[in-house]
Amino acid sequence: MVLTVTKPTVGGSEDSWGTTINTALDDIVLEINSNADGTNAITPNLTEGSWQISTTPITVSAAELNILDGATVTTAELNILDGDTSATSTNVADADRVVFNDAGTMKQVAMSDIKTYINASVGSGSVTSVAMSVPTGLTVSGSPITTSGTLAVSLQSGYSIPTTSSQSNWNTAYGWGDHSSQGYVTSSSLSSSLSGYATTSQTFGVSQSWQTTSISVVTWYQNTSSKAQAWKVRHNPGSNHTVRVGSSTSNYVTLDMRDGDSGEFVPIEFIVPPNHFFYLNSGNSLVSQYKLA
Amino acid sequence: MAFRHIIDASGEYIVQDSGNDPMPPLPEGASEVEARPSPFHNRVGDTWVEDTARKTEALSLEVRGMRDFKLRDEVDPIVTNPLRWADLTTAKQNEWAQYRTDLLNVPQQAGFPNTINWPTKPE
Repeated sequence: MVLTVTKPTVGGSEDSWGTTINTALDDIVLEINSNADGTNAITPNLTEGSWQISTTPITVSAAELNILDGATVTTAELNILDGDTSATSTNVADADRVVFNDAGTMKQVAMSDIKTYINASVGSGSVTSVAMSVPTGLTVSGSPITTSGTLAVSLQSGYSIPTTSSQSNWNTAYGWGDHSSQGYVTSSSLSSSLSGYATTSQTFGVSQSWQTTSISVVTWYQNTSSKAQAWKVRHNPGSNHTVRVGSSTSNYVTLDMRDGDSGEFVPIEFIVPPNHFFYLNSGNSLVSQYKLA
Repeated sequence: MAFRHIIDASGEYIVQDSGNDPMPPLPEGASEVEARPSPFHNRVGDTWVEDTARKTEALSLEVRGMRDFKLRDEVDPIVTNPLRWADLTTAKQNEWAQYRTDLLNVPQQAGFPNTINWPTKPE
């Protein structure tokens, strides 16, 4: 209610002043007491920003404050909405809820609803076939995407994947440029026509020298060099001294180390062509051995 | 010199000698192995195992061959030639006779065939 009092009249009698003042005081006391005991409600008409708490102006409007009318939210819950990053592990159950924006309306939605939606949208069994494309040279067999099995990728006939070593060799050769214009031998007929002819560097004796060696008896040796080797060996006196020389360990001729006339043992000299084998067939050690190679 | 020791596809031990050339690719079916320690070692599994019996036999042949060589090359020209033998003093003839006997007894030496005490040829 609006409190109004009557003021004494200036120039009036003392009685009228007393009466007027008492009446006004009674009205004030009555008003205060009636508000204090709850008979009447105080209805201050506050203006936004014109009232303060500890010198801080309160700018909230009545409508904004009324939004909280009926709220039971706790401070902790408000802090979670405010971006709290601390997490609490929990076992998610169908009955659990999440805050959900339903086309602009915020709701709590049960996890069971979300599960139903996900199953309906992404659920298994909806994929019936998946194709796989591969580059030329590869082939695919099987399409077991919807079941168990093997999706096999293999090379087509006529294709291969080079090893790192092969690729390295290829890159080296590629770096030599266009082979057809570089004078490289590409025809097999050329190598055939050269077959049986030694090049200068393969000539027997060229860039070769005599040297002492330490080979063993009863052992097959193979000359894998590009040149023939000449050997001269001598055994201790004994028996059964022979040398086998041939194109393989099973195809050879046997050279006797005994002089045909005197029967004495003599040093023997023999030639071992490239890729040929030789074998000193003796139980005796060698007194001396030399090789031209 | 470049040597490579292999066991070829037939199981034969071969020492390949490429001289001053690069070693060619390993023959098909062959495998590279470590050098055989001696001609008396056999390949057993992945290792070389010495055949001591064969080694002793080979050494015996070598010692006997050397003994025979000395008899044939040193003794026979003296003792089988009547004129040369007659020119020797009795003491020298005894030395040669003893030398021949010692050579013949070489296989009976305790250390035969590993350790041989070769007799000294008379002057």
